[in-house]
Amino acid sequence: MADSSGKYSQSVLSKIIRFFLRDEEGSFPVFLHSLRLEDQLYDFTIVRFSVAFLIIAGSLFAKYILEISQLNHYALIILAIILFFANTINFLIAYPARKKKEKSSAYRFLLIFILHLSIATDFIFLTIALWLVGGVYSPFQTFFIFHVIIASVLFSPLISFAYTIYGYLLFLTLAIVSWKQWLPPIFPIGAVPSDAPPTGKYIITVAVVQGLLFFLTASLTTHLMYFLREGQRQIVRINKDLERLCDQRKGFLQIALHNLRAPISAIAMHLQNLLYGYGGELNDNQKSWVQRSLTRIDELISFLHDLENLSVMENADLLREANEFGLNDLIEKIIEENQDLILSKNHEIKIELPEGKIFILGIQRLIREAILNFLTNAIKYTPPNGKIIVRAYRYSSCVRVEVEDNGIGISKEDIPKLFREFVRLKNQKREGVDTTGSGLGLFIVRQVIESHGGKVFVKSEPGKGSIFGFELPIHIKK
Amino acid sequence: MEQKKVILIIDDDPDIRSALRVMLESAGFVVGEAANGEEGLKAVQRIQPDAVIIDLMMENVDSGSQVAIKLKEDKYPGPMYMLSSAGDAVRYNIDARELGLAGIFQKPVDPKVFISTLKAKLGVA
Repeated sequence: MADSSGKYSQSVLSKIIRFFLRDEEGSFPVFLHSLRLEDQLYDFTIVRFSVAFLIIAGSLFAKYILEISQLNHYALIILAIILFFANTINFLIAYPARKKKEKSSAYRFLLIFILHLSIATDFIFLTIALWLVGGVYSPFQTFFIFHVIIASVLFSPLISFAYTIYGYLLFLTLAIVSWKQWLPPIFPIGAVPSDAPPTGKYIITVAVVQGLLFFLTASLTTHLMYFLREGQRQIVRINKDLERLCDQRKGFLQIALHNLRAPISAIAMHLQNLLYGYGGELNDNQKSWVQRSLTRIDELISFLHDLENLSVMENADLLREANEFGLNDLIEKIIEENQDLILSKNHEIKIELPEGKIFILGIQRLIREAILNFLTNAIKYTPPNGKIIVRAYRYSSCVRVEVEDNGIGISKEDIPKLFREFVRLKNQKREGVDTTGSGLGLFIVRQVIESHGGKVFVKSEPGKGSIFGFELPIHIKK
Repeated sequence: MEQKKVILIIDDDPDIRSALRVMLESAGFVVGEAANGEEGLKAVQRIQPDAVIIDLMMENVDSGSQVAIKLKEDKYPGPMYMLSSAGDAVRYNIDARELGLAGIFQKPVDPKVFISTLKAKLGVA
């Protein structure tokens, strides 16, 4: 069976990223690319928590492991603690916002404000941290670029460039301050190459190079984001169109099914009356023609029934419709309600149910349909006067439901094809066995059972009979 | 001579009523017809049938169940059977016991099974 969860796990790295950044649906991480504002804010707060811890760990590592002198690690730790607490407030706002479905415009404004405030203060935190680790000499100055990228990813090009200018001005201020020595210069030896104050030429070079880097990065990232967002918008639009078409198709199918069923039933019943001679005795030819018409109508009815099930399956909402129900009662009811069908071929039927009631959580009418499908198949594929057993038994934490018959059976080669869509097996003709059908029945059963967290199985031997069954988790009553 | 048993068919499809009438009359039953739930309830009062056959899907969705519930409340003494089309059961939950039904016939009804079931239930030879 295909494992849907494995579709992104091509590399160890992607597995690690998925582990740490997976979203609630378990799909690939939407790290800072979320459409929803509250998700962006939430992702952002998680990153900021990590940054606070990294500053503390990094400063302690630099101080005590690398033994970098003149490093004011206390100031860095205080900065990280301030960042942590400021971020906690953001987290407390962003986390419940993700769960909240209805958001007023004032609430959205608050979220936008917090997001902007976070980014604006982050630039200031970064400038202070940079001052503490060597200012314009610091190898950490490229982190400004990282912040420019974050702003470009999150916002429109105009706002992104505003942040780029703002970040550049802060960087320029830091450069001028360290050049003019308006604040005491801090040059941790080891982290920076020299403790000599920077010259004017160096400041101009750094300002020009960094300025170019800032604006090139912002320009490139905003362009990339523009194309990404445009693509995303197109996908959303196409998806909406597809959903609309899908709804139209479902509606059409329901109307078509409804309008087809009634006249077909009426035709079949009139034909049966003819066949039974209620309108006068038919000759052999007439009987044969009517019988052939009825056979074809049966095929049609069976196909409509399967289409109906498929349409119901598509529309069923397992989360909303699932209820707890007793399996023992359901099986007894199914047998009771289908006595006419069983009697029509004079089969002997036996029910074997476990002691004590077994409960299942699910949509009863769908499980009913799955059992009924097995039962009608057993009736259909067993020559008259056959023996059918419907049983249920506990199997570990699950329950197994089986329908056993002594009918025509299925060959080993055909068994793997059984639960697929539109599968009709060949070489099944036998006296007293009606093999008409749409080829959708077992496929629908598999869909129903798998959607309930269970699995289907079959054991069969040609000429001896078959056991069709499914396994479902037992629901423990609380 | 034994009194003929009366069966009431409540179904909004005239062709289904006509086909069922042919089957029942051929088997020696007397047949009454009603084209909707309201008419059906009145007909039960008027002709006091020995058994009632109700279509599940009439003018309103699930209206057959409503008729069965009303008859059960009115303590109708005879057996009630529901007529359902393929797929009705999977779309709507029908609980035969809860509705007080003696059974459910799937359309198209098989005349042999239909007649033998009714005869057995009503004790007709």
